[in-house]
Amino acid sequence: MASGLYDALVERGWLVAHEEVGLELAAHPGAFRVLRPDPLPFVSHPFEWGFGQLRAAGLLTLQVQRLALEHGMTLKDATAYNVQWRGHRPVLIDTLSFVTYRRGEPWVAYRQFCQHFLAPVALASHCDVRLLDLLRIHIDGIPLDLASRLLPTRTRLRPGMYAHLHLHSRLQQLYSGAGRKGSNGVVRPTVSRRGLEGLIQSLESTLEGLRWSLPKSEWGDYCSDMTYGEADLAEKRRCVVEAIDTAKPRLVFDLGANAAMFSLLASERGIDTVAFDLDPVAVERAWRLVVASRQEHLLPLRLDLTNPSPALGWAHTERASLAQRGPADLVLALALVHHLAIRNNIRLKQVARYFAELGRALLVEFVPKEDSQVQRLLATREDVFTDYNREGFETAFARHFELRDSRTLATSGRVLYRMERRGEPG
Amino acid sequence: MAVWAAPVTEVVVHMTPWSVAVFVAGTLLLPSMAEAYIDLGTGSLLAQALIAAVMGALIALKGYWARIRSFFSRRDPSEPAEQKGE
Repeated sequence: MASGLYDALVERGWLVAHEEVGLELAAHPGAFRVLRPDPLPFVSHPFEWGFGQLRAAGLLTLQVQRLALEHGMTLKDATAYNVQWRGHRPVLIDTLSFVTYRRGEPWVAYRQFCQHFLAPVALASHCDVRLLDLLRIHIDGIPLDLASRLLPTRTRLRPGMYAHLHLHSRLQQLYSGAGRKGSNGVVRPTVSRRGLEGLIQSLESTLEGLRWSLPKSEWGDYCSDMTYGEADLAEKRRCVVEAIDTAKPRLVFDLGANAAMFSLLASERGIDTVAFDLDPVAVERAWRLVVASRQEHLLPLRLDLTNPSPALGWAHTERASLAQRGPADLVLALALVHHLAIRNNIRLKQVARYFAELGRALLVEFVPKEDSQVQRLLATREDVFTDYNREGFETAFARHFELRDSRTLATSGRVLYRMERRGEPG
Repeated sequence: MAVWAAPVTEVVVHMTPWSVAVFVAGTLLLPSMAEAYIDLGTGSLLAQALIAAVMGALIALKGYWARIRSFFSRRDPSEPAEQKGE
């Protein structure tokens, strides 16, 4: 605070602002001070972010560290979990990560930075974007020996990649037993201030140099390939707007959002909206749209609904599961349920039960069996889905939701249902 | 590699000959993975010190280079450095 760093960070929007409140709000007795940060719309986990988001969060961390050094402070943590999102802007949430910088001291969070940001972004860029999922297993970032082994040999020819990942990993291996053997004593190298600046500059240019050119995805051409025309699309948009106007949500989950076309209807009304999709390409597209149009309320995230984010960390208490971070005030599930039911064999009543866990109100689309999209899913498998019809759908959802409205799209015969969770007031 | 490390780092960073030797060893040797996950911190610190030394040296050299350039451009005031197509 006294260093002026807090003001400099908050002014740039790099750190979540907080106010100091009375000790009576302390979670534990004996608290020194209690800080109340500005609330975030939704807490996301780094393994849910797309490529561009992880890269942007890493670059923010470096900018923050550089500014901290200018104020005689340094970041003691560089975990990706310390970054959250306000639309297109990453924001650091850990006010307590800053400590006083002492001359000659190395950056203590360097290893963590490489594990949390550089390694996964490099793997996504040079191997396969699905390797971002490794972050779900490795909660403190990807081990560098693993990253070094997976990265193609050509990355050794890039100075930044060689130094921060390959050489870094090799030195870790070489000295992994140093402390235990005691023969080498404690190694305490010093790093000059200029060296530290050089280190940050090098990390920055290495991370900036990692790109991902989007391939054509499974759903990439979905919009142009849809079975319904302009009229149905317009009607669908009207239904979404109506659902928003009725539910008056503060938080919307759009499940299977693809390029976030319908999420935008909520987020552009100033409603915090999380656009989940399975496909990393769709999420990256949505993220680039968020950045290009400087969205303030839209957050695209990667999520496989058939295996949603679990609670992670020590005793499952460190990182909340998807359901624990809900419920949203409104869930959109458009052109999604047939994938869950037919491709993934999830019973409609189970779909309904989980949706009821995720949201208070629901706008869900039923795609009939005759639809070409469903026929495509059925082309390679036996049709064992006898209760996959309007009646079966309504019965399954009626257990958990009260039906408020339904609208049949004229051309495609798809049905949009607006529902509210049973037991919700109003 | 040791060629650059010896003269420059003394100016920029408080590197010990020991850590320079580590760098050389690290680049040349292929260690076994037997003791992975015991202590990753030491190697990380050394890697950082080495990279910082190199980067710090580069920044210093850049600074000297800029001074040399400005020294020569000052001699010819009719053609300031900024206008040379930069």
